[in-house]
Amino acid sequence: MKQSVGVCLGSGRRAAAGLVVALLAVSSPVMAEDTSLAGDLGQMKLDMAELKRDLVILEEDLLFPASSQMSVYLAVDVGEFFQLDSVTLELNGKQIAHHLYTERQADALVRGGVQRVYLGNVKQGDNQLTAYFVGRGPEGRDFRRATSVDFEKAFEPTFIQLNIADATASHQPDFSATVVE
Amino acid sequence: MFRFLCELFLSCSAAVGEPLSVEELTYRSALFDYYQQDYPAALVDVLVAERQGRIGNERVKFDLARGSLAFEQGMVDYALKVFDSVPAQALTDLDRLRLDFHLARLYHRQQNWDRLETVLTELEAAQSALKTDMHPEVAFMHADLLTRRGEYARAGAIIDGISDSEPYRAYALYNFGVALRDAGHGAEAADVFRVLEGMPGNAQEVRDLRQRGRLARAYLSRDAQALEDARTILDDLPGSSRYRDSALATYGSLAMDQKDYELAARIWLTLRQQGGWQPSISLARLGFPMALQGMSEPGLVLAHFQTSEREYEQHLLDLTTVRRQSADAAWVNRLMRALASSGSVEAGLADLTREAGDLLGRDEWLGWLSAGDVQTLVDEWRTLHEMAQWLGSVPDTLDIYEQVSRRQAERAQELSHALADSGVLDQATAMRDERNRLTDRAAALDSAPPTMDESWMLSVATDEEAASIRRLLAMREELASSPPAQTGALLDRVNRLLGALFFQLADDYPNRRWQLVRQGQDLDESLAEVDASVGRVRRAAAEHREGVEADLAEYRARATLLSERVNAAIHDREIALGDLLQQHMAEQAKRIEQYLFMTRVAIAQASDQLAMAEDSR
Repeated sequence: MKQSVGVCLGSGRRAAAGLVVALLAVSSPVMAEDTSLAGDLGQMKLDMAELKRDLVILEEDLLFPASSQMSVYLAVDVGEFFQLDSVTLELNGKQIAHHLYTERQADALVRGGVQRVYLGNVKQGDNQLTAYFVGRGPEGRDFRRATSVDFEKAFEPTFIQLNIADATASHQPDFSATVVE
Repeated sequence: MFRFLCELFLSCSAAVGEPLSVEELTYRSALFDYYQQDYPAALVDVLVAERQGRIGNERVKFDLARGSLAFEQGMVDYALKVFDSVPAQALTDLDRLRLDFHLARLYHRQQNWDRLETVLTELEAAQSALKTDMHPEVAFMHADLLTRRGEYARAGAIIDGISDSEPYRAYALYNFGVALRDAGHGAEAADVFRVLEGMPGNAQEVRDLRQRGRLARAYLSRDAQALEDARTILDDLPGSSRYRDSALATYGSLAMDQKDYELAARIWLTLRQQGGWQPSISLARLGFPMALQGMSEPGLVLAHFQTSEREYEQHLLDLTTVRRQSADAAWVNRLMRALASSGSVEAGLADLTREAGDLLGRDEWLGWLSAGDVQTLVDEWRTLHEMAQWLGSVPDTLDIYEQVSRRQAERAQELSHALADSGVLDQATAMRDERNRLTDRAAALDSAPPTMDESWMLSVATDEEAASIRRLLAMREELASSPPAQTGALLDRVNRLLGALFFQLADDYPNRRWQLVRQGQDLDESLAEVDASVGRVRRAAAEHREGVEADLAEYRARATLLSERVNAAIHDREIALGDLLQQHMAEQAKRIEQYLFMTRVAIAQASDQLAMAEDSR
């Protein structure tokens, strides 16, 4: 049972600091923060974040122009019937990405995060993306499945969403790939 | 804290179901980094999304994320600016709750108590309206606010409302106890520490706070002259506690106060045998021979005091050396590097590299290192050092981008030339002309029904048929100008031929019209392919980003300026570390000098006693 603080103040007694004990500093309040230099550091962090932002955009513009840009995202819905170990992507039969998941990454996906697995270029016209998922399926069995999507690359950036969901009716994981409009 | 952010910082629904929008994919990508506590990457994700216009109609959501991520990284002013910029009318009740929570944390960190009170009032009203429980961190902040205002009863009531399983309760109780003690309410403080000690849970931070609370309670009992209580409390402190040495020193002092010299001697000896110069061990060097005074023969006591004297003297020399070294910027830089490479200071002093230990000499640095100011400096230095490393790589990155951009510009020019030289554009023009002609012919056919006149027949006829028609018409014209008696039969024959041609054309007209349409369609398809090819080439040529050179120059300048500021800030931290070290060494030296003085007095007394004993013999 939780104890109550129940503060009822009587007449105060100022504690006399002992010679010995005063040397042992263990009783300052905890969770205090901020230093005089912190504001300066905060501004520098912001400036750096903005520089990083501009470099990311420049890099995308230069290396992944819209007419050839394709990005692939992975989302996980619930994830009760499948624990993700790795994903491999093939574009038109050629491997373009492979990712092994740490526990922390897999957890971030289950909690609603979405990972951009791949950002790259793709030829205009008809293409096929295939994703191979490896992990543990129902009852901890090794599980390997693939899903594909055909798409036509146009002049605008292409976004493809891979999705791992729980099919509650079949108690099996369900994998899909969709072109995001 | 993490769970709370999940509830208030963002929507934690993991359900994906339908394909997500581009905006949602972008937002959740930032979440992916956020959930891995990679706040810098998450913030950059959000900034990029905003700049690229990928936030859709979710401005508030992205702003709250931006402010929160900035706050998590200590960019407090910026976070406040972002939160202030969120228009009130755009907020849902839940958004308002989230915003108030962020503001409360911000004001709490800034120790802006008036604003904190305002925001907490709003936050608690919103929580009540939304029928959500008061979050432990909110309760923690509120209790802290009330404690600082001396409203102890209200603070205690709020802490009572925090679940026993929440580490925030342990922090709140500890701070509350300290505040009560500092305000002179020792008995009440002891009660609070007792509640803290009774908290369940095995989380490291809670265990640590329980031990701190127990030690603080022991001090309170000792100060109140409740020495037996203090001993009982200390007896229960785990032997493996990080506060073991402090507790032992207190225990030793208590034993001395109670004249239990045998116990005191055992305690001081235990500490002393550990070696090193932590405060409790420094004290044990004096305490041990003092305890012996009450029960051993004077010669032995004197020998122990003399040993302590030599150790104190040597340590003072060591401290002087370290103080001299800490005035050397290069040495402090080495020290900072050693400390920063040791992993999280808080995670365990045992992780510190041997170099840091060697530089500072003995174990002196252990207590100093665990001080909040030093930890903050080391953490900030580490962050700045990482920033400097990244900024150092920017020029090379920009060089690569410059090469890529230059190559793209060349390629764009090559493509433009290739397009002009290939004749594709002329071919497209010719096809377009032909298409126009076909369109005109089809339009002409549609506009006039079959009529046996020249224009209609020629519009339908093939080239060969048109030639025949023209030849027959010319013949007819020629025959018409001759006497009918000579030409009648021939004219009839020409007219019959023309009539036959007309009927053939009229009969075949629908088919020929369809052929025209078909040819037009074929031509349209071919033209579309040519146009698409031309379009692709033109787009590829145009995709060369204009103004890259200017951008690159600007980014270089920004990186250079930022590098200078970061390096200056690194230098500031090193100076501050040197100052802290100097200050600490000065304090240490002062303390050791005190002990040395007391030791020398004791040596003088022991020598006198020995001399008197000699004389009396």
